[in-house]
Amino acid sequence: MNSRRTPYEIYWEILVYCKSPRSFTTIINRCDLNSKTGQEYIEFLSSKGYLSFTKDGGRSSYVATERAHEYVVLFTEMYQKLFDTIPGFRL
Amino acid sequence: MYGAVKNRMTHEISTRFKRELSSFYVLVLLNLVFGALAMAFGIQSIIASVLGLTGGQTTPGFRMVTGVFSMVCFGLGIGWVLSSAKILKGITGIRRAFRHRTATATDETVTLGIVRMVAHYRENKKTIRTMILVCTLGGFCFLALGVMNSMEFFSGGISSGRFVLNSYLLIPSALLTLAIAFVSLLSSYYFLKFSRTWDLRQQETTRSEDILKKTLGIDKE
Repeated sequence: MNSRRTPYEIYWEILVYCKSPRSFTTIINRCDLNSKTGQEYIEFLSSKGYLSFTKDGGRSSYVATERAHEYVVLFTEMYQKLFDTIPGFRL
Repeated sequence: MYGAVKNRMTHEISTRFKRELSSFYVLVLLNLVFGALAMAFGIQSIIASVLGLTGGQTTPGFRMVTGVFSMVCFGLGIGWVLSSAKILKGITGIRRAFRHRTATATDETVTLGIVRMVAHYRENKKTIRTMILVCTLGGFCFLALGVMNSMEFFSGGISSGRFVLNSYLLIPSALLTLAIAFVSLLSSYYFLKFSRTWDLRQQETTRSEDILKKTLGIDKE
């Protein structure tokens, strides 16, 4: 089912999930990604400054930055608007 | 103040989303049931037609036409069930997150549901288009079969203007065929309605992504 998500939808899912620090494995499991594409998405978000990488002892994790909040809010508003402005389906 | 307004908006959108999800779930479930009925009825009609042929009836041509129609109906029934099952699988997963929730869902839960539903529609757009076609074709085939069955329990002469009821036992069968035809055509209408709504939403998401790309400089290429 998740194969047809757009990159923007995947970015949003990763950023929302990384509100608290998460490991690479938990991110790809939760967001239903394989390790190759997961790596690509995480690298992209990190390069844009939306995710920061932390290493605490032996555990490495990713966490969403302040900058990511702007994207998450904009995305949420746009997607919720789909149910606000367009007449819904009813039986 | 802003928080209260935002919460009310989220609550309204969550309610709308849940209602829409339930409507679509009921529609797909109904299709699954009627698809199974169509399959069963198709088989029953094939057997009845074949038995009629071997029984040395006086109208073998009519029986053969009914048999062919029954086979088409059976095939459409299989298509109907398979498509419904595929769509139902995705919907059940999305619905699970909302079904037992009594408190207002959070912004993120609602948006995640919407994202999943958008992705589900994107993936099953072709199947839904097939459903519209299968339901319309199935509806007309069953309508034809229903009319043929009705003709069988009435016999009469055009010249005499008299119609005789052959067997009361054939009435439920003809009525069931007509009911399947009606549900099939009705499903086709509702799938078309659903498809139109979600096509609009998909266009809107494409536009939204352009805005996201421009304003935040997010472009994977």
